[in-house]
Amino acid sequence: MKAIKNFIYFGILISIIQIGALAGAKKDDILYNQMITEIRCMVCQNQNIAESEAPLAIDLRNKVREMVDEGKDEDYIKGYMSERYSDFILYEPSFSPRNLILWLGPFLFLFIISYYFFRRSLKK
Amino acid sequence: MKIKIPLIIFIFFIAVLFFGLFIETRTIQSPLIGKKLPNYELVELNTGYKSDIYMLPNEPFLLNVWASWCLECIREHSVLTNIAKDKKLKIVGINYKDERDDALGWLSIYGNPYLYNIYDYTGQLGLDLGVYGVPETFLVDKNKIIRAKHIGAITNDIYQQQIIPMVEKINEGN
Amino acid sequence: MISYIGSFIILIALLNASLLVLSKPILSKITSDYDSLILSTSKLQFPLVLIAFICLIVAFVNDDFSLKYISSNSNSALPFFYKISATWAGHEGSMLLWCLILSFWTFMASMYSKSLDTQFRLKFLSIMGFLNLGFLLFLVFTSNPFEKNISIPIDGKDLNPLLQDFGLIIHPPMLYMGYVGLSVVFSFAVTCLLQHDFKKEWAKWIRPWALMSWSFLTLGIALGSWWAYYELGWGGWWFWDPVENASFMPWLITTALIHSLITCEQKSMFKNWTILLSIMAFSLSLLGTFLVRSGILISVHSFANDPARGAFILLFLTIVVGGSLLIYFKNSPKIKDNISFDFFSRESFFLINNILLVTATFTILLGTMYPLLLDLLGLEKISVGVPYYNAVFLPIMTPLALLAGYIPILFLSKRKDKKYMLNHLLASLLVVIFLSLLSIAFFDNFNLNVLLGVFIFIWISFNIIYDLINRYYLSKRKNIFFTNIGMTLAHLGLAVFILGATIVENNKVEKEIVVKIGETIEIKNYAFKFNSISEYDGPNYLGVKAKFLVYENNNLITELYPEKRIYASNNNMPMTEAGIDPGLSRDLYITLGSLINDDVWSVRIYHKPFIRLIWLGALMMVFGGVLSVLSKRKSKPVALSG
Repeated sequence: MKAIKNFIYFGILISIIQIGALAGAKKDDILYNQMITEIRCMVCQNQNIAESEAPLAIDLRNKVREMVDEGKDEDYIKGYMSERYSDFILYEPSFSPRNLILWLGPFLFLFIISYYFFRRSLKK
Repeated sequence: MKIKIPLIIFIFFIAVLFFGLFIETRTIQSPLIGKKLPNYELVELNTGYKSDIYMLPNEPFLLNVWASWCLECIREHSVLTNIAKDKKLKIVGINYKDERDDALGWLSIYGNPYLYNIYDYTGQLGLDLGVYGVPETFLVDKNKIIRAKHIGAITNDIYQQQIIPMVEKINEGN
Repeated sequence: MISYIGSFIILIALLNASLLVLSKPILSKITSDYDSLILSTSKLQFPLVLIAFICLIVAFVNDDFSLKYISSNSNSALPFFYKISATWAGHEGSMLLWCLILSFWTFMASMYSKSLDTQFRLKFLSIMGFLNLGFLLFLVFTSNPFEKNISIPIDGKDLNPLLQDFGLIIHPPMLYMGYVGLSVVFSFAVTCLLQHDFKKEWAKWIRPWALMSWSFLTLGIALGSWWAYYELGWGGWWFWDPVENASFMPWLITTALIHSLITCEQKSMFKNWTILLSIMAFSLSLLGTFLVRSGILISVHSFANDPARGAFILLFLTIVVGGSLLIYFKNSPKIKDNISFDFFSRESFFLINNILLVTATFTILLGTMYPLLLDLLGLEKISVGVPYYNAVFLPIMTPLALLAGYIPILFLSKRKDKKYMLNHLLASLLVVIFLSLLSIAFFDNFNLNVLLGVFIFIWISFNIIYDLINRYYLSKRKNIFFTNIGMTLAHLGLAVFILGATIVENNKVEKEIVVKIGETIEIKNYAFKFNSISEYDGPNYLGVKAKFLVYENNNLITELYPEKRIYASNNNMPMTEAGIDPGLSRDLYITLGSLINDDVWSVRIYHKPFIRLIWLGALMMVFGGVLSVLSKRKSKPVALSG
């Protein structure tokens, strides 16, 4: 049993180091790459601006690069985009009352059907 | 009871799909409607004089985003020319991501219905206006509030049936 | 001329399908032998539609531009093989392919259903006939590939350049084989409902069909992903695009179905649930058809937008799905279904598997439909993309993947006590954690996600392989190895897929860079030298081809030729052809961006570690599925196979 505990501790330790390293690195390039995959190309059928070579996508990539270089954070960049182009431009729907069903629906569904099945079928 | 809930869900689902067939999926409502025009400090296309938000007309006007590389703009241009002749509405142009010589040449070929043109070489003003498909046209009131936006070429029908009534409504409101 | 034959044959097929649907009292007036009429018409459908399909191919090869469909999807300069594949590249032709495959499955169902009792068999085939009829009506009334042009154009508009590709030739047929194969499962389930029964033997009979459909779906989806990867020039392999989702939903439900069928067959439990899953699987494949072909959702792959088509499929969908659900709610209470088990039992874990898969499907359905719903309510449009699915879908699927490695432990311990099981679980966890931590050494960008991915990979493979070996030694019947190899392979495929997907998504390197001829770009231990660029004439396009020399640790390993192509038919929009150097441990991927000036281009270079594992894993699943079907047939040669 001791061996198991040690393993678990080791695992937690590694995780903490990793999270720390990730947080430190989550600057410029990582933020830039993340942002351009989460912004939709408005003129394309269904692509993000990282994938698209449309002029608007290139402009928006440059804008994101500029904002990242100025030290702006994720929320600022997303806000900047949605103020001008509407929430449609963000691939991640905001966690707002309007999108509540979208975000919580799956977990609610999971809960309801689990409850339904297990209540009905488990041996008492 | 047992059958009712799934039935309602199913009917609802089919209804969503059915009505979904008839909605226009491509146009996206601009979040800027009802908001003030963003500030900008650019130059006028022809003269190179400074141009900013305070120089815009003090009455409802159209703000039309165009470029010489935009093919749809040629089609739209005759409509804009008519609107200018109609003298009910002034049109201010935003020349979007264009070379000055190309733009001026284009205007000399097709005619100039614009009061004047704001020269947005970098596209920053276009970006602030959420422009994504040139031509785009904004209806702006005298307080510089954006009242409506149309993406794509304006047609005579759109002018007569949508823009004019809206302008009348704006004028009545004041 | 040939097109008239095609049209005529389609009408005959339509009549033939309606014979299948007509009820017994009506048909008995025409013929004394109702049974053999049904059996022969259900078989005749396939050759009929096949002839029509061949007619269309011949018309394509002969450049018969008097047909609307051909003049808008082909061109005399189009290479020969693409002329053939263009047959199913557009909406009308792909619908004909759909009908062809449906008639093929009907044919197979008719051939191999002798073991079912006659009443059941006839009803079952009638329902298949009804589906045939529906799709043929759709073909004839809204999407007739044999429709004539009013005036014959001199040449055709050409095939969409994106579709002029080997991947496209095989992707739709495979996917449709899967989609449509589910119609067999569906018709079977509805017949069960009509007969108020779902016997063990029936569950056994239908499982190979579900497995075959599942294998085809897997192959079709994997091919689509592979095609998008090399053809679209983004280096991505899954986009959560509505059309991809449309194929993924039936896949998830069918995955649930092939698991629940096992419980059905062995324990006679979850009969109604299994029937419902069968109905849902095909309903979702119909929904997919609707979403793709009505143009209701914004997607990279939509066909031309046509509300009439959408309305027709929706009507058909309402009848088929609504009708079958009504029958389900009316008749399912009559099917005896005793569900009762312990929490620590196989049934319980199969149920968890099902619950998670259905929830995952629901998530995708919600994500796909939600923007439409908001739009209808007049609220602001939103996009639901990768970040949403990463946040919601992955947490639901992770326990499922963990379960795939846990089930074997549960099997093993069935004969033993709980303590044995717990020991076994701890032992295997220990080994897996140890191996996972060891693997840290191999990654230069290691994070929790990678750790989890590696853990799941080792966890599943270790337990599954251990299980296979163990069964082999424990069992007296030595053919157990053969009967289980399919299942083992499929689950290993899942593990390999997860490993590949996790590594590539967390360790890929992408560089977008402006480069001049003669310059060198370095990524990891690779150097890419932009050697030259040249123009050339393709058969139906103009191309620009760049040459990159690729060095690994200063040794030249390969040359890559990314291209830009301009097809006149495509409004002169440039298309990208990536230069790819594939490898099991990594892909090198270059695409040309745009010309900056003279010798200067923007290019994108990607280093994609282990991306091939994604498709390797999928292929393992496909072979696993097929092997399961084969071994089932072999292990039970007498009673049930036809």
